[in-house]
Amino acid sequence: MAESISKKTTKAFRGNGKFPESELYQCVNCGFCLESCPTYIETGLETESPRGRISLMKAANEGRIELTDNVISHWDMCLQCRACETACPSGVKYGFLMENTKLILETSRRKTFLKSLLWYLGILIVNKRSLLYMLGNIIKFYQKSGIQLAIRTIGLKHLLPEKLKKIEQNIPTISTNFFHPNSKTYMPSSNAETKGKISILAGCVMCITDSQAIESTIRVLTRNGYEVQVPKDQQCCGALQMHSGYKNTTVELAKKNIDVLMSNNPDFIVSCSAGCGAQLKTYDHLFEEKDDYYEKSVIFSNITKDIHELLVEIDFKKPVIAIDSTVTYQDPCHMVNVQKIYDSPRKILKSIPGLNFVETTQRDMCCGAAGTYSITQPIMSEILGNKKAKVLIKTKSHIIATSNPGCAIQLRSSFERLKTSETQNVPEVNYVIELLDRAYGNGE
Amino acid sequence: MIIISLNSDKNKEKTYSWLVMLKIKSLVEELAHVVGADNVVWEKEDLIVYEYDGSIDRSLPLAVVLPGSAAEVSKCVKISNKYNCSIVARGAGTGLSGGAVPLKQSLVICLTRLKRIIEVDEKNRLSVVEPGVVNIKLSDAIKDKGLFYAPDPSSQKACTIGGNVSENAGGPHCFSLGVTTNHVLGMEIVLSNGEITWIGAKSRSYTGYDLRGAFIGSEGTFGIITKIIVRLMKIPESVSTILAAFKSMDDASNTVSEVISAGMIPAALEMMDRITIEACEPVYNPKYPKGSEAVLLIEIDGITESVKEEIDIVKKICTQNNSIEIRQANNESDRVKLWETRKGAIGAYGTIAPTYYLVDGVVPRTKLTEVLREVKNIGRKLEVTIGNVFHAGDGNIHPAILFDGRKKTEVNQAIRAGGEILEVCVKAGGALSGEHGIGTEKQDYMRLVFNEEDLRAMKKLRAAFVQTDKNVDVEKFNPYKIFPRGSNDDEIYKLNDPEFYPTGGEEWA
Ligand SMILES: Cc1cc2nc3c(=O)[nH]c(=O)nc-3n(C[C@H](O)[C@H](O)[C@H](O)COP(=O)(O)OP(=O)(O)OC[C@H]3O[C@@H](n4cnc5c(N)ncnc54)[C@H](O)[C@@H]3O)c2cc1C
Ligand code: SF4
Ligand code: SF4
Repeated sequence: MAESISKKTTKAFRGNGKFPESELYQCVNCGFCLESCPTYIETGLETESPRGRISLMKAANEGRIELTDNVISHWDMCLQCRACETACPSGVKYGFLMENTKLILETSRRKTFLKSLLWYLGILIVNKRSLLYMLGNIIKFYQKSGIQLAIRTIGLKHLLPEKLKKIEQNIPTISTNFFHPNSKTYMPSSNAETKGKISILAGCVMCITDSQAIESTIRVLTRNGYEVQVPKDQQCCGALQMHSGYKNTTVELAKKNIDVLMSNNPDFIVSCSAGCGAQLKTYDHLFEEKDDYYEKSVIFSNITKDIHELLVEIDFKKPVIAIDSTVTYQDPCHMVNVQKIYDSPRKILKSIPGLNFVETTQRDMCCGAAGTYSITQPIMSEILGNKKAKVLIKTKSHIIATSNPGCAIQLRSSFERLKTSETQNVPEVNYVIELLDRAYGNGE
Repeated sequence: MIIISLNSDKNKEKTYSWLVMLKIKSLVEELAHVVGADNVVWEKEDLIVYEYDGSIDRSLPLAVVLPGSAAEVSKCVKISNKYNCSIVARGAGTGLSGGAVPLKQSLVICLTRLKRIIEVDEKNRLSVVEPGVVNIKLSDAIKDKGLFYAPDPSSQKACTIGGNVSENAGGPHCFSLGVTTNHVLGMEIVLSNGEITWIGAKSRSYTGYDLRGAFIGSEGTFGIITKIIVRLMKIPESVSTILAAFKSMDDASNTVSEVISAGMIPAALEMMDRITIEACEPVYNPKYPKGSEAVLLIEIDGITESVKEEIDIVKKICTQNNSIEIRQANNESDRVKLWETRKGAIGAYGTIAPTYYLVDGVVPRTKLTEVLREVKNIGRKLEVTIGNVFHAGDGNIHPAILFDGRKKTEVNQAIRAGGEILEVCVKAGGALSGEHGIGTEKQDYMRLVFNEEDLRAMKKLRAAFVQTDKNVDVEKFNPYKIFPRGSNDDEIYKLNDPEFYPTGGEEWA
């Protein structure tokens, strides 16, 4: 019995010749990555460390272990924050290895009916905008109608199982107005010549939780002399799908986005979400040279910019309206570890008059949001969220600036939790771009 | 339950008998009762990630337990006695000599959860820490008090102070400041009968034998460290670092000798050769000048005036020895940048080959040039790639033999090359290990330096610590390490020999 499964395993990891062995064996076991890994620091367990997870991949690749639920659970516990990649002296592409592992798992793992159903629904929702807005409206109703308050205060919550309770806590606050990509052309705000054309990818979660940040992005860009569009038929960027092993879906989404976002020949494609930006910039990895979309995807990835990165590159107009607050910046993992953007958001914040910028400690530590992680691993996610929130509170900032919807949602709910348990003033969470917009006068 | 031992070529699988299985189960349950079920690792797939450390040896443990306090460590030791199994302590598992690789199907006691900095005494410049505190975390925590913990192994971002004490770790800055043993005042240890006791103390004024000195560097064979009192140092007023590139190794080695004979004791004096430079380029992008065969990293610290003076002299010596480029860093961020490449250099060998075998010999400084040339010849003769990155100041060389651990012939060649290099070191009047310890890696070379009598004396010392009563097995802690195996005096052991690890499943029971 054991033997036959183990044969199947070998096949799963190696038989199709797909697992990238040269990248896998680039890990020399040195352990330098250990202390960068949030789950290792929390548990002290090698099984929950980058080196451990890579060793399990090696063992699976060598047919030494079966893909048991236990083994998979260690990979699932990974945030894919890629802090280990930044720490690794050997240049191991951990994110790439994990994507490949997930891809194999997705094709071979047995899931419970409920889990598959949830996944299917989840993927459907981010794939189809109308469904996304519908879900947004349902949550909005849940929050505004008082049902949430009732559940939380009367203690009905205690009737929910532990995991569900944590998920309930993590439901993000929904924007009053959703953002709808509409292909409208926003013209540069001054009469001077247009500097260039920009297509924005608005992201899906952001449209229902942080529509104001998308509006800020548009205003900031027009003020800096760009003609901006948010093309209508754009899709989800595909990051969540890719991290969960749904490569085919991702490829389909990518093709659609490449067509839609490049249709008006923009000079840049801009994302204001760190996670989406990271995904767009790697669209070219999804295709092989022989594919029709290969060339287009290379151009696409080359002209994709993170909003902060672009602003600093074009030497953005310096804001004049003061924001008299102490502000710290929380680095989203997909910004710093994947896109390697560290300075730009800081430069923008420091350019705002009156703003007192302070650094926090443990900047390289993931907040625990990590895409769908807060739903799939609510317990670890909450621990990491609380840790992050406590460190941030220590900076005595009024505002925590960030650049990713997942982080913003996670930080807000972590602060909310700490507020109830320790009753203190907690900082507000804003996007860097919102603050810049405010210092420009919100387009007034 | 199937146990696979990787060291055998055929992935020889081992099945425990049901009787042993029952025993393991009950052992795990007892341990879980003490530390909580989340902190015991026993499933066969999970044990795979505890079969290794940073070296090339591997062996599966029986189970792994992560205690949360000294008292829990003591209880775990007592439980292990009941089941008659040996114990291997483990820190971060970055060791390079197989120290944390559990032979004899031992129970691994992993100390990564014991990571509190218990006390920082600014006035007396000392700190009490738990063994799982990561080396650099201590220096980070006391930075704003103007203090630091001196031993700084290149692995300091990951390795634990407990592991440092057990290996008597060194580091780039140990050239002027001394290795771990110079910075540890005492420790709390758990003995083989589970008793918790202290050796050494906060002040130096205790009398009697220096047991602390004997324990440091014992590679986990004497007992388990549960607290450590370390000495802290004042951050120097001024630090300046230069990097000098050379067209030949000889030029770089001569520079080292001249700097030292000019009467200076640089805070650090490190060398990297061309292969190492090539390994680092894609990861750290330091852009060293084309044609560099060696780079030196020299750091001077002290009071501002004298640092300036000395650094000028050093620069002059570099130029006289045909340095092709000199970079100087005077602020912290530039310094970090210069050091980053050196500290990551060993890991960066992964860009060249999947496995490295890092030799850790010491040679008299005057013989450095000669020994490096011989190392090069060995590489050429055995057709293996050898990179060099090392603490030039104290003659602690680290030839890194780069190969593919999955290929048997390459493993063989690597081990042969390692053996020959060590022989060269010993012949030149040096030692087997500068800082990584003996472990499994160098145990069979011990006879190159020690005779039977020496070894017997060392064994007696171990017995004095371990045999709390006559019935205790002297191999209770970290069994089958350090001492050479068998009586094959002259024969250099082949690590990939299937007999290398005892795989007798019921031996412990
Ligand atoms: C890339 C790289 C660079 C390195 N550079 C250096 C360097 O510059 N200088 C240097 O000296 N070393 C260096 N090392 C080696 C290694 O980091 C050190 O030996 C370090 O001290 C090991 O610490 P650890 O926590 O990883 O211990 P482990 O590897 O887990 O264990 C090492 C030994 O200590 C014992 N041990 C661990 N904790 C305890 C405890 N609490 N009580 C009793 N015994 C214990 C173990 O049984 C084992 O024998 C390097 C390693 C790597 C991978
Ligand atoms: S730092 Fe890189 S090479 Fe070292 S163990 Fe981690 S992933 Fe492997
Ligand atoms: S991606 Fe993040 S959570 Fe996953 S192994 Fe790397 S550091 Fe740990």
